[in-house]
Amino acid sequence: MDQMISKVSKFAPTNEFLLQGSIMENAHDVLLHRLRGLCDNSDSPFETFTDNEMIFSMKNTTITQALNLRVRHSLIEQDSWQVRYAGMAEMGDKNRPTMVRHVIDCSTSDNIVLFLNELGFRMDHEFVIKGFYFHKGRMKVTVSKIYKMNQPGNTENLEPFSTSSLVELSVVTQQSGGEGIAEDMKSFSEQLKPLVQLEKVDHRRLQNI
Amino acid sequence: MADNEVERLTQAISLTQKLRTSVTRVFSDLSDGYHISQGNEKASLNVLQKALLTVNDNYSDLEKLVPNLNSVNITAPNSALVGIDPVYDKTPIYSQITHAHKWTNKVHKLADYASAILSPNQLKRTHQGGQPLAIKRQRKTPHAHAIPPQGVDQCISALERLWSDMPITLSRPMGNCAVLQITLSRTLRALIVLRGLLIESVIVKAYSEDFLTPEGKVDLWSRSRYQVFNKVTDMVTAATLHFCHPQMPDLSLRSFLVWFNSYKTLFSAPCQKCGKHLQGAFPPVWRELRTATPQHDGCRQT
Amino acid sequence: MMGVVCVYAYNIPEGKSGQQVVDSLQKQMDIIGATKTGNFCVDCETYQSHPQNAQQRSIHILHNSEQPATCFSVLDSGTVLVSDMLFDLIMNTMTQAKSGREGFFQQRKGFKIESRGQRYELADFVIKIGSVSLMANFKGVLIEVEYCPSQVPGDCWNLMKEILQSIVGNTADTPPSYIKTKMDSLYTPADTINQYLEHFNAFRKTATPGQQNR
Repeated sequence: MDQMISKVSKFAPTNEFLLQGSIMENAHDVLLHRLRGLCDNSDSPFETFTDNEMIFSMKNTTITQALNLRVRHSLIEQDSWQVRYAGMAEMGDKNRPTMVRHVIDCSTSDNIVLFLNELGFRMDHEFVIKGFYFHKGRMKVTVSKIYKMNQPGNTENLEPFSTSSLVELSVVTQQSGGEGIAEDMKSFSEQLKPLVQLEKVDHRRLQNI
Repeated sequence: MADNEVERLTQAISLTQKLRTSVTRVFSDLSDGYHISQGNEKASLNVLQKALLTVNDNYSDLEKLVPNLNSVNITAPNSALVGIDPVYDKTPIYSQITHAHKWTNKVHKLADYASAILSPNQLKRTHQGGQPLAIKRQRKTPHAHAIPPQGVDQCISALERLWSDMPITLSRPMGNCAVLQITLSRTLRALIVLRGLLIESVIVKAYSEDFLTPEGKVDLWSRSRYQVFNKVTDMVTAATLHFCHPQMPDLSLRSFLVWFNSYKTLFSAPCQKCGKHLQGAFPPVWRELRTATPQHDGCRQT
Repeated sequence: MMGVVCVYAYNIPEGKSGQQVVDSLQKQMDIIGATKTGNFCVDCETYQSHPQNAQQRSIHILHNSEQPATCFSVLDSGTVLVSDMLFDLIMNTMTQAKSGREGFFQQRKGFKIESRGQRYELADFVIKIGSVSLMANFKGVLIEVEYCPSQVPGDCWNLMKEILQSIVGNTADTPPSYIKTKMDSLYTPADTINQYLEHFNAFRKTATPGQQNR
């Protein structure tokens, strides 16, 4: 079992490089067209996604930091449930252009919510995220809007958090791979420069707000 | 004006012909050789010189005439194409022709083999010939294979209402022929290709399998990956010949489906003859044509 | 291959060792005409929640070589989560000791159990003969028979009974207790895992049989 874990962890994509930014409503379409030109499959129509994401956390009396797991399922395609563990993003120093964090992304059956509840996890919060995604080689870019659910469990009654959209550029690689990908991401983000600034965001400072 | 044109053209053509003859004469004389008699070399050279001068004169006449000619617009397309030099590398006409020729030869050869193999088989779905014309007029020509699509749709929807556990989906992925996808009560799935209302082919697969190609289109050919369903496919194909009546197509289709419905007990019913469920690791794959009772393949033959 | 699976424990007669039983079963396979197609392994690892957690619960993580990219996680309540192999890693993070403290779950020592052996195929049947070992101690023999074309246990139980009786004898008079409740529903690989877990739990409770370890 331990050998299996070490084998899986060597080859599994668990390293994520991340850059985030935001764009206002009036420039949203311009950004979409520019991304369509820059990314792969520019002749096919925009690829959209609508997902419901729930964050579950488990607390313990001895362990101060709660363990968070994110469960995401698509509202368009049935039978696609994923659970994700995301570690804390490291900012690194000025030389590192992107944030790096340890992620484990796993597809599961549709009873994951029941399973986590029985395991002791409690749902902390949830939201619906709707947007477009593009990919260029290994890089994935999403432009999406986050919606608040007015009633828990009801994905119809939505209210957007704000009119701006979140733009994220991410690459997931294996533990050992990833040299040079940060520079590629940096040069890609330069091409989006006047429209949107993709940069490292310190998540720890956000939590203290 | 036009007459002048024509005149000048005819003149130009006759001058070109004259030029041609003189040039040909020079070369033929040169190749034949001159009969040189002693002391008469100069005479042969003179002959050559005269011939070359004629060539020159003809050429200059033609040159004088040409500037007065208008260029003619060739509007007749075929003759224009004569002047076009085809790029033989880019048009693969020759290779395509040889390929089509080989293919037709092969089709002929295989059709000959097929007819030689099939002709001893007495089971035919359509009966042709052998009857004098008088009697033929009394029979209706079978038209079951040529029923219009609306007729087929109506017939199938009427049949589907008869069984609650056998939903039938009709589609036309390849033009006019209807393709029915039948699900029989969580036991199996079948795909029937119809020509009009006559059954062309049947494929039976497991409940967990589907009839789609990797691209998502309807797959009419691939067989099941389980041996029992391949046996069932063979049995059902043999039965389609029994249930085929070109004169009463909807009755034949209905009786076939009634018989086929008995396969919902493929795994649960024991064989009628030996009483067991398994024979050589297979369940009873045959259903009696008249009574629809289950039998093993081996028990059927005894 | 999503067929209906029945798992039975083979009663080892007095005076015979596990190896002898497995050999005689393998000979039986050759007699009925099955062909050997490889090896298989079903293993189970158990984790228990930390005493400091609010509720005590155990979670079993099983793998089946028949579904090599899948990881099954079973809770005491019977809920089975079917996921990628990466779920192992998530479980690992939940158990890892961080900064000197214990994780949320602990691996229960001495509970790793597995059934390993040969896989045979006969027409549309898949038969597996596995010897069960708990931490390298031999515990018993498990026989698994799968009938691939069918997905409803109620339909094909009688059919499977015939072939099972020729292999395990009278133990196969009734369907396995887990299947009895599911005769009319569609069978899934998670049901196979539940059957194995039932047998593994039973084996964990028994003492090692008097015969030698393998």
